[in-house]
This record gives sequence, C-alpha cells and structure tokens, in this order.
Amino acid sequence: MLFTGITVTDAAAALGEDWNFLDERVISRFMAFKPVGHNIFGARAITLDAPPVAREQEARTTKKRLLELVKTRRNFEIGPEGIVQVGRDPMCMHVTCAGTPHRTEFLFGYWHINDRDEIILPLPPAASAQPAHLLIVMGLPKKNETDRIGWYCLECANLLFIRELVTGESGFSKFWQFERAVVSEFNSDEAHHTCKQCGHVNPLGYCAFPNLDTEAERASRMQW
Amino acid sequence: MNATPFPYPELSFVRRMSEEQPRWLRHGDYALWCGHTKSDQPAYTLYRLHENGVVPVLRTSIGPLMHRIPAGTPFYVAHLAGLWVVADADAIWVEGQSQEKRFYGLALGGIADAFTSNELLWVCHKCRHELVRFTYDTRRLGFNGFSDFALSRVRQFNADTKLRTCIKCGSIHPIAYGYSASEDNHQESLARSHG
Repeated sequence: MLFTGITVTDAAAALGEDWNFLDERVISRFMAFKPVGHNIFGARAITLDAPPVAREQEARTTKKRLLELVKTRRNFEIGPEGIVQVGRDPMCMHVTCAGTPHRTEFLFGYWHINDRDEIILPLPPAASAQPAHLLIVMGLPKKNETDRIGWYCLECANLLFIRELVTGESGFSKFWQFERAVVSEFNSDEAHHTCKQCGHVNPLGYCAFPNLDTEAERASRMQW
Repeated sequence: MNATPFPYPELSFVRRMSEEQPRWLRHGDYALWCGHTKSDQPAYTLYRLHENGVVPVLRTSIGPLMHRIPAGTPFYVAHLAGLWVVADADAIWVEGQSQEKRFYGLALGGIADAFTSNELLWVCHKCRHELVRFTYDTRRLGFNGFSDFALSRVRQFNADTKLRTCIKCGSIHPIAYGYSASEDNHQESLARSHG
C-alpha cells in the first residue's frame, strides 16, 4: 500500500465522528437537511422511515398505508411542456437544475424551486436485510439566493400560489418554519387552490414532515 | 420575420454510476464523476491528507458511505487517479454496492464562486513532504479540461525523477496515473493496479 508508514488508522479521531454521514449513528442528523460546508445534506435510510409502534390502531393503519404509497411514489418536474414525470433510478445521480419546480408524491405537497442545483441519489440495499438509502445534496444558497414553495394547477400547470424565502440571508434552518407557514397560508383559502385559468380545484398542500399534518393535510398526502 | 426560438430550459439530467467510461463532467453547479468497480477489481479508496498523516476513508460495514471533503483539503482516490487534488469547493465522496459491483460518486461544488482554480500535487509517500504542486486555472480553462491537465502533469511527474525524489527523506515516489485507465501507458497501468 502506498502510504503504509504515514497512515492514520483512526478515521473518527482524525476526521470527526460524523465522517460518514450514512453511518447509522449519524444519519438521523440529516433527516431534516443540514448545511455542512458548501452544501445542504439530506439522507435517510428507508427502513428507518418505519414508524415506532403507534399508539392507536388508526394511526398505525394510516402510517402503514402511507409507507405503502411511498414505495410507489413518483417524481415530477415542471417545464415549458407542463408537468413531467422523471425517474429516480438506483445508483443514478439525478440533478434537478436550479429553477426547476420539482416535487415527490406523498413526501411534500408543494413544488420546491431552489436557486442552486440539487443532486438526488437513491442507493439500493447492499444486501438483503440492509436498508436502502436516499441522499439529497443541494448547493448552499448565498446572498440573495432563495428557496421557493409554490403550487401549480395539476390540470394545466398554471401558477396558483408562490412564496419565497431568501435562504442566502436567513440560512436554510429557517426553511421549515417558512414551509409550515406557507402551507397553512395556501390551505387557508380555497381561492388559492382554485385555478383561475381552468377552474380546477387543486388538493391541499402538506409539509415534508407527516407528524405536522392536520387531518385535512393527511388526507391530501394520501392523494398526491 | 422568423422569431428566434426561446431555448428550451434544461430541467434536470442524470449521471449513472454504472457508466462504462467514467469521466469528470462540470454541468451546472457541480462537477461530477461517477464510476464503479467489479468484485474482482481493487476497490477505489479515498485518502485525505491530514496534519498527522494520511487518513483512509474506509467503510466499516457493508453499508454505504458519504463523506465531505472540505475545500482546500488534499484528497487522493487510490486506483482512480494517482494524484492529490485540492479543490476550491467542497467535495462529496459516495460509495455504495450491489452484490456484483461497488459504485462511487464524487461531486465538487455547491457554492456560486467555486471553480476558480484547482490544484494537483504529490506528497512523499514515506514522509508526507510535499514534492510538487501544479495549479489549474479553472476559471479560464473550464473544469472539463482538468482531466487532460492532470494527465499531462502526471506524465511530467513520471518523466522527471527529480520531481519524484523527496528532498527531505530521499524516497522516490512511485509512478503516478491519471483519471482514465483507457489512456494509461504500461507503467501507469501497473501503478494504477498498485493504487
């Protein structure tokens, strides 16, 4: 081996305990996205998505149904031709270009538009009984760069409602508070989700964290 | 009068870790490299230069790895490229595996003012003393020319025993190799198999 005499064997001591973001002791720190250096990292082990034992049968059934839905979730982007479905193949880096509205069914009920590119990488289980992983890396917004949350008509792709947060100034940590407020604002008035172009009444929005769902939002999550 | 068509915006694109001809590609905010090794080939191994020595970033289980290399930190990927790189943006190294293959991804970037310059260097493999450093003018030449630049400097390094000789301990650094195995000469190919 090339560096035999000068090798530092204890990676954790040299690089810090979080040197592998996907280590099972570390990965939970990235569930809600975490800025580190020049990027914002999101990571989850798919089997870890399974909820702990629920207190009520109903909650258990709903979560079970949700997990079933997540297995078949589709991903979408919006361009000049309207809403298009895009793939998420294992071991493929899917890069959503800055400015492209994108969303994932049942995961977050709005279109996310960032000013930096976003890399999405699904890793299948390395062996049976191992979890699959989903990695997301977004460039760190700086200065006047923003993250936007919007809704477009599911029938005609007309813009219905949009809000932006200058995450370059506020930091990404403010995003989740912003998300909750914007989803509530959108849902509060039926006029926001009724398309002025084609008249279609669009479903309610919902946040990225199912535990924040209202009853109506949970019903909407099951729908789109 | 013919109107100039409005260019169709690119919504997204895909880089496959199963690519047979892996290469660096700067596209948008990131420069990406994707590749794989088969189970009968040596695994790529990431090393980071550290004040106390050289740190191998090794998976401790069958599970995947994602490691951030801060901008300005020299890193080396054994069997992929026999040289140390210093990027002006953070790098992200990812490893995963299936039953037959190991998969790797390397992404550079994340901030708007990245890709100004990149450096490559060699350090003594016995005492870590820096032997030689080259700067690539990324802003002027574009990141997509970095692999060719690296190969030209690899050959300059290999051809000059003085460059490869450590003035501190007298060791002679082994032959280096560039990013593309298909461009290796015999010596470089041999060096690649050794890491």
